[in-house]
Amino acid sequence: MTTTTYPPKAAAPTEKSEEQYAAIAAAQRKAVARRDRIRDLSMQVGALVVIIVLWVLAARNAWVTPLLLPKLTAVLGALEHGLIRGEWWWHIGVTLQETALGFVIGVFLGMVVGALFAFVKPLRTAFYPYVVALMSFPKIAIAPLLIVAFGYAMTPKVIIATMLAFFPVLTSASAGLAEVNPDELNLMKAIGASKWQELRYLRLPNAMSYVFPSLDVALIGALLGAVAAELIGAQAGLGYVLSQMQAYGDVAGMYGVLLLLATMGSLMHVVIGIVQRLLPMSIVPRS
Amino acid sequence: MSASIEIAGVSKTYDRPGAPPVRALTATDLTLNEGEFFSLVGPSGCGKSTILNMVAGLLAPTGGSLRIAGQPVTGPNPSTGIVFQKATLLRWLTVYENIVLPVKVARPVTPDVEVFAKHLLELTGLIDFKDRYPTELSGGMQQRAAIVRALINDPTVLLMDEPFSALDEFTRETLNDELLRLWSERPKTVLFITHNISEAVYLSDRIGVMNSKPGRLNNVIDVDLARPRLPSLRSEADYYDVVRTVRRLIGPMHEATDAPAGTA
Repeated sequence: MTTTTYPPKAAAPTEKSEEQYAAIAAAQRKAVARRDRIRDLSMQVGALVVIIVLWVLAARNAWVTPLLLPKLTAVLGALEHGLIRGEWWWHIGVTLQETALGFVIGVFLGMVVGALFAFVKPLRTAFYPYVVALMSFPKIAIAPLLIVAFGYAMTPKVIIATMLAFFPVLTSASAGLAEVNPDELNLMKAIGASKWQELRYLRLPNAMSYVFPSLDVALIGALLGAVAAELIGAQAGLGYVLSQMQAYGDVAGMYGVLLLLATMGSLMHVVIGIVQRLLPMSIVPRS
Repeated sequence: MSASIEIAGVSKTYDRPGAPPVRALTATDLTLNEGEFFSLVGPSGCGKSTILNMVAGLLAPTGGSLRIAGQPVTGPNPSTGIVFQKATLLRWLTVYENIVLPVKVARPVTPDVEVFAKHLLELTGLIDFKDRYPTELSGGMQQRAAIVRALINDPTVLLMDEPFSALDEFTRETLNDELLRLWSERPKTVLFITHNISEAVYLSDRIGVMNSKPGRLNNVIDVDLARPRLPSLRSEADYYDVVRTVRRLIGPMHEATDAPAGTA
C-alpha cells in the first residue's frame, strides 16, 4: 500500500482558523443574498411595468369596457384629488383607527382563547367545532345586524375587524402553546422544570414563533373587515368613500381607493416584517 | 469501589392498545461503579435507550428496582446530567442562557455558577460563542453546549443517549477526546449509549452488549486499555482486539434476529 501526501512537501502556511472560515462564508452568503434581492426587486419592477403597459393598452383600445377598467390617467387624477388635495386623509384616519382597534382587541382575545384551548382540553373539545364553523361563514354578512344594533359609527366596523383578526391568532396561539417539540419537553422534564417553568421557558417562546407570522394575516384581516363593514353602512372611512363613488358611477375614483388600500395592506405587511426582524430572538424565535 | 447505579431485575413492557404488548427490555441486572465509564452498545430496539431513560427517571420501569447512590429513582434528579441524541438547545435562549437553565429552574444563578459555566465553556472552546443563539452554531458546537448544560450542576452521574451519532466521524472523534478530558477532570459515573462499537471501546471501562427482540443485556466486557486514552490508540492492535470481541458478540445474534420470518 502506498500513501501519497498532497500537496507534496509542506503545505503553504495559509492555514485559517475555523472562525476566519466562518467569517468568509458569512460574507459570501451575504453577497449572494444581496445579489438575489437585487434580482428579485428588478423582476418585481419589471412585472409592474408590464401590468401598467397592459392596463394602458387595454383601456385605450377598449379591450375591456370602461365600466370595469378606467383609464390610468383618470385613476391618477382621482388619487391626486384624494391624496394631494387631501379629501381622503380624514377617511384614511377613520379606517386606520378601526383597523388598529380591531387588530389589538382581536389579537388579545385570540391569545387568551388560544391559551384556554391549549390548556383546558375539555373546553377545546367542546367548542372547537363551533369555532371552525364560525371561522367559515362570511363575517361581513352580520354587518347589517351590527349596524342596526350599534348604529353607523365605528363600533360595528371594529367588531368585524376584531373577528377577522381573532381567528388566525387563535389557531396559531393554541397550536404554538400545545405543539411543543417532544425532545424539548423531555429536556424540561429531565432538568426538573415545574409546569410554570415549562410555560415560561418553553411554551410561551414557542408560541411566539407561531403567533408572529399570524399577526400579518390578522392585521390585513382587520383592514379588510373595517373597509367591508364601512361599505355596508358608514358615515366615514375608505369603505364609505368607495360606496359613495359607486353610487355616482366614479369607476376611476374606486380604482384610486382600491390602489390606496392595496398599498396600505402592503405597507402593513412590510412594517410587521420589519418589527419581527428588529425584535430579538428571545421574543420572536426564528429557526 | 462503591456502587453508583444499581439496576436490579429492571424490565420494561409497553402496552399497545389493540396489539400485543412489546417487551422493550427483559429483566436486567447491572451495577455501575462510582466513577466508571460504562457504555451500552447494541442494534436499534435492544432497549439501551429504555435503560437510560429509566435511570434518568423519565420512564418508569415495569418491574425491578433502580437506585442511584443508594437512593431509589423516582423521577428526574438534579445530580444526574443528561445529554440527548439531539442537542435540544432552546432556540430563543443564548448558548449561555441554555447551559445555565438547569440551575435556573432550581435556584438563582449565583456568581460561583457563572464561574463554573465559564470554565466549562472555556474547556469546550465555546467561550467566544456564549452570547450567540444555537442556530448560529455548527452541529458539533451545539452538542458541546448540550454537554456543558448536562455538567452545569456538577452531577455525580452523567447519562448520554447516542450524543454523537448525528455528527460526522471527525467531529465525533474530537468530541470523544473532549468528553474524556471533561470526565477525567471531574470524575463521575457515565452511562453512555451508542451503536458505534469503536466509540464505545475508545471511551469505556466496561461495555454492555445488548441484543433485540426482546431487548436484553447479553454480555459485559472489561476494556483493559490504559488511560489516558489518546488518539493514537485508535490505530493500535489492542484496541482493535476489543473492537473485534464486541463486534463478534453483537454480530451473529443480530444477523439471526434480522432474518425475515419464515425463511428458517
